[in-house]
Amino acid sequence: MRLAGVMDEIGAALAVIDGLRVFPYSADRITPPAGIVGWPDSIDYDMTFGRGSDSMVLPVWVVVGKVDARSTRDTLAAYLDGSGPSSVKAAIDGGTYTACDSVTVTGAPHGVESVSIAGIDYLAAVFNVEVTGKGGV
Amino acid sequence: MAQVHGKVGAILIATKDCSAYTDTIEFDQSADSHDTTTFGATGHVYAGGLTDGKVSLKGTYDNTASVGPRGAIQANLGLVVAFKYRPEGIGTGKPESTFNVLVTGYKESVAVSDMIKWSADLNISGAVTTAAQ
Repeated sequence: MRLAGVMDEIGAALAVIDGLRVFPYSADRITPPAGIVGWPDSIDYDMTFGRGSDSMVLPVWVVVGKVDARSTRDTLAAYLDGSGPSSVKAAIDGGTYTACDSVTVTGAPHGVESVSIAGIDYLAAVFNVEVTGKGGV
Repeated sequence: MAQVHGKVGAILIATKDCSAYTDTIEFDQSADSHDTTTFGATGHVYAGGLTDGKVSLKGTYDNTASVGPRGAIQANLGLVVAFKYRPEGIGTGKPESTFNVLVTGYKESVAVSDMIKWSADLNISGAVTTAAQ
């Protein structure tokens, strides 16, 4: 499982959401609404014998504009929906992956929070994405 | 001599290497004990009997048809097949136990929040041959 390839494929899956600008890396400057595939929070090697499988959890940030606008609420809510054309879970779970075996959005455990990127405040949701794949490939 | 990490462990069942889908091997050998104590003895006396044993396997399900858990284990349920156990992995001079097993159980566990897991129970059938690879 190649990390860069996994991040690229998650980014490609996220790109099916109309209007979302996708960064399959930790971008330091964005234009909202943006989806950012972050570095893994954790990587577990040797889940099975002989480098059979590894697993990791990656954060995917979805960042929208002004913190207090009602339109922002509506936009971010659609990204958080479990299904629908703007659903991050539906987009990522439904992606095509060859760099790994399985990709699942398990949740957004921290809900919605305000973040500052390049000195600008945004509203963001952070999704946890669990990835498993072959260890020796 | 040195301690060895478990990540290198390997198994072959019915000549199929499904180590990459396995995360736990329990290799459990035993032998019958016969009490041959006679009158006048001050302590029990025992004689060894037949050997026995079982192997328990657990792992993460994989749909690889030929050497995945279904192909290698479920397909052999109720059958006696060859088994190789290599606790230190593959390599010249490393230990290997070779024996036959009766596949007595195969189980899949599907939980909504986890990868599909599998487990299997095998009874050792006959003698165990231990040698270097």
